[in-house]
Amino acid sequence: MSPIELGLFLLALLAVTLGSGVWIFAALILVSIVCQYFVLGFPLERIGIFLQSIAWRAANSWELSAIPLFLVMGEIISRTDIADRLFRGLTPWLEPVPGRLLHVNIAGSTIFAAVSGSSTATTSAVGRVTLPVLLERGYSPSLALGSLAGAGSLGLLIPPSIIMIIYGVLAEVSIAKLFIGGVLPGLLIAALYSAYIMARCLQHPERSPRANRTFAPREYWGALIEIAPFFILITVVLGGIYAGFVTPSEAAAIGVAATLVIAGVTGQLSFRLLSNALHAAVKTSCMICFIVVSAAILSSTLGFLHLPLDVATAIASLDLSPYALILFIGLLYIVLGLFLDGISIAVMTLPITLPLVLAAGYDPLWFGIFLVINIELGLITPPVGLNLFVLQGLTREPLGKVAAAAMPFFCLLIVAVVLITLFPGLALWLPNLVSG
Amino acid sequence: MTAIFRAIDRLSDLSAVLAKILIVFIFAHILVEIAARNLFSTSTFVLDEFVGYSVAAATFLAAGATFKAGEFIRVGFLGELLNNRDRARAALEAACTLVTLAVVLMLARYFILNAIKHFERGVVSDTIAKTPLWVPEALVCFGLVMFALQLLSHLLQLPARLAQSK
Repeated sequence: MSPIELGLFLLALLAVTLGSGVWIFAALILVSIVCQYFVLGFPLERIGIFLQSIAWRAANSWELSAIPLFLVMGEIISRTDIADRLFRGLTPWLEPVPGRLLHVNIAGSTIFAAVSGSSTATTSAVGRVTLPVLLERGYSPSLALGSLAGAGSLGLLIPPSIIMIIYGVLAEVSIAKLFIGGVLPGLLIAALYSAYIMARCLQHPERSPRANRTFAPREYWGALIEIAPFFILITVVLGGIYAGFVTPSEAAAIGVAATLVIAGVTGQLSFRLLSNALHAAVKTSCMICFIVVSAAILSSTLGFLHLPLDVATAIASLDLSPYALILFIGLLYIVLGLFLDGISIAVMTLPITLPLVLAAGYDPLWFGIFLVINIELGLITPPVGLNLFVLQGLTREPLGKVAAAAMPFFCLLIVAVVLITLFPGLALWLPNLVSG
Repeated sequence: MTAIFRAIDRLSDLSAVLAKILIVFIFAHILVEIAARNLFSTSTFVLDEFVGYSVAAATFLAAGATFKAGEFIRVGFLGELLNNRDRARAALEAACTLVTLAVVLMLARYFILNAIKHFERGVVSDTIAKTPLWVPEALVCFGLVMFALQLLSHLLQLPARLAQSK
């Protein structure tokens, strides 16, 4: 088989197994087994030993321990009233801004993303608190839903971030540097969202009705105290990483400890809460680590087939400019994002795309940030968009309506992708500054 | 039959409890290490090794419960297309489960063979702890067997579910 035929055969095999509903981890391993047995002609015995050794090496990982720990932290936070405090704390400050409480969606998600590693958790935690109030007060439903869908996706870009941990492990890039690199692009996207909301609400003030009360000066300061737990957590978790004192896994453990203290001080800590949080986190972590393990198996199999190298050679012979290549990869990710979740997209494509972009002269750290924003795009596009599903669950609105509301924010994310491609410094300046 | 299914669920839950204990252990070990390094200028010297084992073991131990809770992600357009055709849908689900069961059994087989080999030869890690490798590997094996049982239980319960939906 020529490399192109082999690639197409693999793609078809993956599409059929995934499309018929085989669990993603099993589909990736199955495709690996089929390739090794039929294409490479390996005996089953050899394939089995290979599967075992790769699975063990991939799962037996210090770096991956940050995943269950950040998940535990997020699960504890979402089971306390910490998100309600965020809402109460931001309300008086954002009420005078054009667009008013719609900015709570943006600022709240941005801040929540800084203590949570997942975007669905961010969207549901913030949405559960803000959406009922926004809709009751007569805000434009499309702006309320759209801004939350868009801003909730920042959970991936603003550290801590599960997808960055996975990218760091697969691409052998410093997870701490990825965490630092996500900050500026994340704030840039939040600013783009807020600017869009302001512009829309200055044109149509009725979309963000005024509150029927004013806030006393004292309430502003009281509000800051409500947000204090977040600042403590952000300082504790990200401060240590940025200062270079701790690794992401250590920061995650410290974050869990700080969350426990905050939950204890506010009188919300109970055995039941801990047990539920742990139960939810252990299952999500299992699901994610299984995909990482299966991706390692698939990636090594592709290596046996020399597929990454062959595809890279084939694409190099096209003599694409670096911009054309990245445009092509970006479009590929948008198409995949229509059907697949972010982690699966990242682990399935990286063995092929990473060598390509490195050969074209891109920084692996920069590509990590690029990939994460592209995955955020996939979160808010139907038919499979996890953030849309969360909002659908919260509001019982049809998927089409939620997706349409998210559309302007999808376009703003594209603007952000273009900006970081034209100005890679947006992603690279801060990490380079910190590491000296 | 129901008693067997219930027993399998119990075993999956037990396995998940072990996974949870390991996550708590990871958390505690990292904190102890941070305290040891900063307050007492010493170390447990085995942090990344033990945490690595725990991540691997917890991942596989939790698999049965994760599967039962429907948390493993899948795409499944075909299933949605067959929305109104229960029998075809059940057949598709059975095929998916069988394929996954085969994959899990293959992993389990070679993990068990490897753990037995390491046990018989007394292979230990080349670290200061000299951990017998079969210990963490046995936990992975237990998790994979629980996962396989849970898949089998899912497969065997499909006909009953099909009958119920009619």
